[in-house]
Amino acid sequence: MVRKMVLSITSNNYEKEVMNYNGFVVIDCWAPWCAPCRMSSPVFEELSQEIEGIKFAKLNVDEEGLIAQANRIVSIPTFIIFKNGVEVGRFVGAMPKELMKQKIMEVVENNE
Amino acid sequence: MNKAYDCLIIGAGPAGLTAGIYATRYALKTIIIGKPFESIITHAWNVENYPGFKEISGMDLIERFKEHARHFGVELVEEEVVSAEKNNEFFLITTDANKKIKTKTIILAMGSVPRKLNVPNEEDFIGKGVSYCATCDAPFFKDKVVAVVGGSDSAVMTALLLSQKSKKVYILYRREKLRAHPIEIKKVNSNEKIEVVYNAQIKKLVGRDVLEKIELTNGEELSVDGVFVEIGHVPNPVIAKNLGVKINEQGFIIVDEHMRTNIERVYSAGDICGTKEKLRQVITAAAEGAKAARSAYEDIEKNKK
Repeated sequence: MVRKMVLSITSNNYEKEVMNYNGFVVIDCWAPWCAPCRMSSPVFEELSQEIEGIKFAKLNVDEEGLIAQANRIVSIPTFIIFKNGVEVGRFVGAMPKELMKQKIMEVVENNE
Repeated sequence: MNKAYDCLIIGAGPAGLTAGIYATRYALKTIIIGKPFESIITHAWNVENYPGFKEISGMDLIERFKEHARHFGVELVEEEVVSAEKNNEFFLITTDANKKIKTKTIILAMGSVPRKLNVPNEEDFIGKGVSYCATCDAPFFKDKVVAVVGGSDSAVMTALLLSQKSKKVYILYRREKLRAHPIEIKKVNSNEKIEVVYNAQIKKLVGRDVLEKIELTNGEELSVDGVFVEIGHVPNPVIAKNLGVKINEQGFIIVDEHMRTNIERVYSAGDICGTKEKLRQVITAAAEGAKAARSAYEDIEKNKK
């Protein structure tokens, strides 16, 4: 099986991959100094392999401060779900895989 | 199922990893189940009282502990234990990845999680101004006004960290005198950005989309962009209860001076055990981990005879 990559969001591809994307995108907003992020990133990556039809992306808030600010991020990890470029949900903090999956799917199902 | 382990440690913070180092050096077949980055020590931006390190971040310190344990061949499984039961002379552990592991002894070192403020609308402001991890979130409050709740070492250290970039930092403490180390209190008193508000308790968090102000129980209001909660930690002893281990009124596991619990061949170390008043530091957690490993070793040897 070809492993899907979790796409890194930068100011160069934010418009194309998130704002102008038709469909669901879930973004893991993280930074290297954040211990809970180090726990949740591998979980997020695993889910990206399991869940079909949603684009998985990550945002390094340290390197991409403007995008973080535009999305009013004040805690990490924050997970934001977009549909057709509009935020439809977000949740905060590290959590077990099943709970993260449930939180993502809940937002997706409510907005389909 | 594979051969049983001599010693299984639940939790990979300072207590669990030290227990792992000692147990392996006692030539016990040892496994640790837990996530080092889950340890509360990773929330400490600067540790200045662990001998050998004049200053080191909690994250780097736990990384060193992990490396040290690995060096002696401890197996580290980064999963969560979901159940534990006694099965004749062995214990049977199940992880969230449905791994089943047999062991002769267990050391419970699951630590604790940050205590919440316990105000009605707290959940609504998580990610919108309320934070339990200053090392994670302090950079987002550059040039903003923030409040730290608590009077302990970690509260004061958090205020000092925030004062580096924030415009103004309140420390809100419910008592009349901070209980942090005098050396840290001195730093607070000479820091122009920090203002300590005594006898202060938050009644309500206010804001439309994000946190805008807080109301105190004395009726006073403070405009703040962020609230950092540093009011201690609570233990999570579910697995201990499964095993029939006795816990005290505050939820901490009861141990004797050699870290033995009431259940034979079950031990505990670190933040999750002992009295509420006990000193809870990296160095004491590590020391207890060492003691627990030695007790496990002694009990295994005794059973061989």
